[in-house]
Parts: sequence; structure tokens; C-alpha cells
Amino acid sequence: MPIPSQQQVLSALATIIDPDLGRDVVTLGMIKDLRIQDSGRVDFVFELTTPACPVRDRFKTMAEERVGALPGVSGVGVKMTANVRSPVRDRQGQQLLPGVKQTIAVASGKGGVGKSTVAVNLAAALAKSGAAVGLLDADIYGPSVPGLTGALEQPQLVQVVGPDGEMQQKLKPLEAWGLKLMSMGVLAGSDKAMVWRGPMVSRAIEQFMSDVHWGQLDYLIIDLPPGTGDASLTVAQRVPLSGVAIVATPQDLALDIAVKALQMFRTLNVAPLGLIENMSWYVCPSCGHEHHPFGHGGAERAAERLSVPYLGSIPLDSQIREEADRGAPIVVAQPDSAGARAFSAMASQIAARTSVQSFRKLPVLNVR
Amino acid sequence: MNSPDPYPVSVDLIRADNRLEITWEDGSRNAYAGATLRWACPCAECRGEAGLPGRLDRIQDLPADEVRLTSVELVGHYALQLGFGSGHATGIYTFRHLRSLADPSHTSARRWER
Ligand SMILES: Nc1ncnc2c1ncn2[C@@H]1O[C@H](COP(=O)(O)OP(=O)(O)OP(=O)(O)O)[C@@H](O)[C@H]1O
Ligand SMILES: [Mg+2]
Ligand SMILES: [Zn+2]
Repeated sequence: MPIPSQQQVLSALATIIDPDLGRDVVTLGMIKDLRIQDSGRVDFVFELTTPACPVRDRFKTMAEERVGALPGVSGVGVKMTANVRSPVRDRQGQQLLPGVKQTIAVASGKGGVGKSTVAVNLAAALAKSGAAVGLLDADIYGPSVPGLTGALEQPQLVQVVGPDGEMQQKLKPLEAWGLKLMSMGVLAGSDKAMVWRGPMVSRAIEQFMSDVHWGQLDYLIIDLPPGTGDASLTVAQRVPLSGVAIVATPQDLALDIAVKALQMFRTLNVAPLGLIENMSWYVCPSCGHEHHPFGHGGAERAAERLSVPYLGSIPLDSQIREEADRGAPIVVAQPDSAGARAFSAMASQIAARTSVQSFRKLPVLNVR
Repeated sequence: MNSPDPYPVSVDLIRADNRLEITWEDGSRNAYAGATLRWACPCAECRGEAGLPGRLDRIQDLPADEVRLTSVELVGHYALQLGFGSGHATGIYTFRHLRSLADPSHTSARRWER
């Protein structure tokens, strides 16, 4: 039997549509290194835009099936890889965080909604999927990443070669749970609450951003302070953000507390990646069923009302708190728990949203 | 799984006709009258907040100036900000909203319609 041509294989693969990008995977450049042997064996690399791709397994199965169904094919080898792409960025952004591809801020309208817990688990889930991930605690008023990850040491200074060949002194991030970690709390020492005024905060954040030696990262997650204060404002203005994920509890959503934060980011042209609902449901310890005391679909409706994507709901789960208190992200410590699964699904959604953005060129605007 | 977000390749504001035209990634094209867009303004003032009715819920007519499109700007990678002759420019029209305005079947559960 004759073997299929490259074109036939690509046509078969072009029937696979990326659900987030709405285009086929061949046009999107995801199929690489296609080789067809005389025996009819077909091998290729399927390069995703994120290792945390929510449809990774589905893509692999579809690719195997569609190519396997072609006449003359005796076997199919699909190698799944990922290459996180950077969004189109201005030069200033490139300079501040040169090796960082995607920068994702986690914000909230008010304190205590679980923002830091979400940021740590988002980072850990992305790292677990295979991405190179950093986590920056930008909450200078109450840094919590050191406690949540157990990385309590003071970071070391290292000498690195700068862009013009000169030596620079930089802060080396701590490492834990496969993450690179840096807390702005190190500026003050972990036990002193900071009493800084606006301009100082802004200057310190800017300085700090360029003082950390992140190296090459696929994702940098930034845990912002709650609300819309100077620190959040500075990060949103000065750091080239791929987007911001907003964390809210069901009560906040009912009261539209997330709206103010969302509006600030929109005003500053930071794309909202979407809304995360925290502590909205729980698995009943006595009956084992899911309980939804706030009803179903509240977060989806809120997201729709606010015109932002809905990224998922995280259960109220005492294990999440207990692991956090021990300094471990639940996605690593108890990966099969309901909480960990919810965090991983949320991380995939966020990764997919950032991929979508980096694929798109800005539309052409004409006023006549 | 979410349906892909609609995304434009080009946006044309034709002032003489008071019309906005959008060409989408999938090649389709939609035209919008200034009045349609003004009545669909999603801003808090027009739509109301916290369960209270907004300005557009309380009135029947808008003067010509209010529905005359004057400017269009891009907001991030997800929306357009439209300005009108009256100076009203607080509406952030997401691409999804714009697409569903032109073709209500495009999204399942958008409730922008008045
Ligand atoms: N889904 C959850 N289930 C159970 N406990 C949670 C959950 N999310 C957060 N918590 C707990 O709630 C408390 C507040 O969480 P966290 O510190 O992450 O909030 P935050 O929004 O960052 O607060 P802050 O405003 O102080 O920065 C912590 O004790 C945390 O362990
Ligand atoms: Mg916090
Ligand atoms: Zn309005």
C-alpha cells in the first residue's frame, strides 16, 4: 500500500481545532518535525502553547486517531511538547523582566479572600505541569508567600552579567516546590509590617522588579496586595502584565466588590484573564457530597456581568488551609484532593487564556 | 469548554454614516449603527449597578448627539471603548458583546439586550 504524503497527514491534522484559538493546529504552527517512513510509520511533534494545556490529552488522542485512520499508515508516534510564547510587548517591558515570557498578576477587591493561597497553588500547578515558574509576593504590607511555601531564608546576592557585559548584583530567588520565589517582604525583614507612603512604595517596587535574577521563566505569578492601592497600581503600570486574575468569594461577587479592582486594571489597559471564585462550595465531611451553600452558577453569572472569562471555583477545604499553614501548596501535597484538582483546572484555564492573547495581533483601527 | 472569544482583525469607524464595521478573525463582517451601540452601552451609568436601574432603563429617546459615534479605542486585547458626540465614553464593549449584538445566536447566555 502506498504511504501518505506530508500533505495528506497535515490535512488530517488540520481537522483538529484549538477550542480556545478557534483555528486548526496546523495553521497555528503546532505540528513540527513530521517524518513519514517507508514502512508507513508517521512521527511528529505536537507543540502546545503551554504544558498546562487543558486539552493536552484530547489533542494527543485526536492526533493519533486522525493520522492512524489514513490509508497506508502503520503506526503513529506523537510527541507532546510545549513552548510558552511571549505576548507582543514594548521595549520597556522587555528590559524590566528580560527572561520572563508571561506575567500573571493575582488580585482581589479586598483582603482575606484567599488570593495568596490561589497565587501559590496556581504557580505550583503550572510548575507541576512542566513549566518554569516564578512567584513574586508583591504584598509589602503583609507578605505571605514565605509562610505559604516554607521558604523563609533571606535570599542571597549573586553577580550576573548585564546586557552590556557589565557585572550586576542581583537577588537570587529562593526555591521550593519547583518554584522560584521572591517576596518583597525581604526588603523589610519578614516580621516588620511596612509603613510606607505611596511614592516610596512605587519606587521600591520598580527597583525591586529589576533587582531579582529570575533567569528564564515561562510564567511569573505576582501576588498583589488586596485592593487598588499604590502597590497594585505600580505593578499594573510598570510591569508588563499578560493579564490579571481576580479572586473573589461568593459574598464579594454578590456585592460587586471585585468590580473596583477590575475597573482599575481595565483603566490601565491590563487584560482581565478572568474571575476565580474561592471558598464557594465544599465536600461534606459526613456525607461526602458536594455542597453549594451559595447555589450554582453565581460566579459564571458574575463573570458574564463583568464581561470577563470565568476561570473556576475553588472549594472551601480545610486541607487547603492546613497544608498552607504547613507551608505546602495543596496541588503538590495532596494532588488528588478536590481542592488540588480545582486549582489545577483553574491553572490550565489561566494558561490557556494567556496563550490566546499571545497569538493575537492587535486589530487595525480606522476612523474615517 | 468555552467557545473561542470572537476577535477582530479590523475595526472601521465611518463617521459620515455613523456606523462601525468590524471584520472578525473568521472572516465575517458586521456593521453597527451608532444608535444600536449607544443603547447597548454596558457602562454602570447606563446599565445601573447593584440592582438599581441605569439611565438607559429610565428613558425612551436619546438626542442625535448622544448616538453619534466620534471615537473608537482598543482596550487591552478584549474590548473597544466607544466615544459619542455627547462626550459619553465610559462604555467598554467586549468583542463578545459586540459579536452577540450583531448575531445573538453567537453566544449562549449574554443578557445585554434590553
Ligand atoms: N479554598 C480555601 N479553603 C479553605 N481555606 C482557605 C481557602 N482559601 C484560603 N483559605 C484560608 O483563608 C485564609 C486567607 O487566605 P490568604 O492568605 O490566601 O488570603 P489573601 O486574600 O491573600 O489575604 P490577604 O488580604 O491577607 O493577603 C488563610 O488562612 C487560608 O489558608
Ligand atoms: Mg495575601
Ligand atoms: Zn454608558
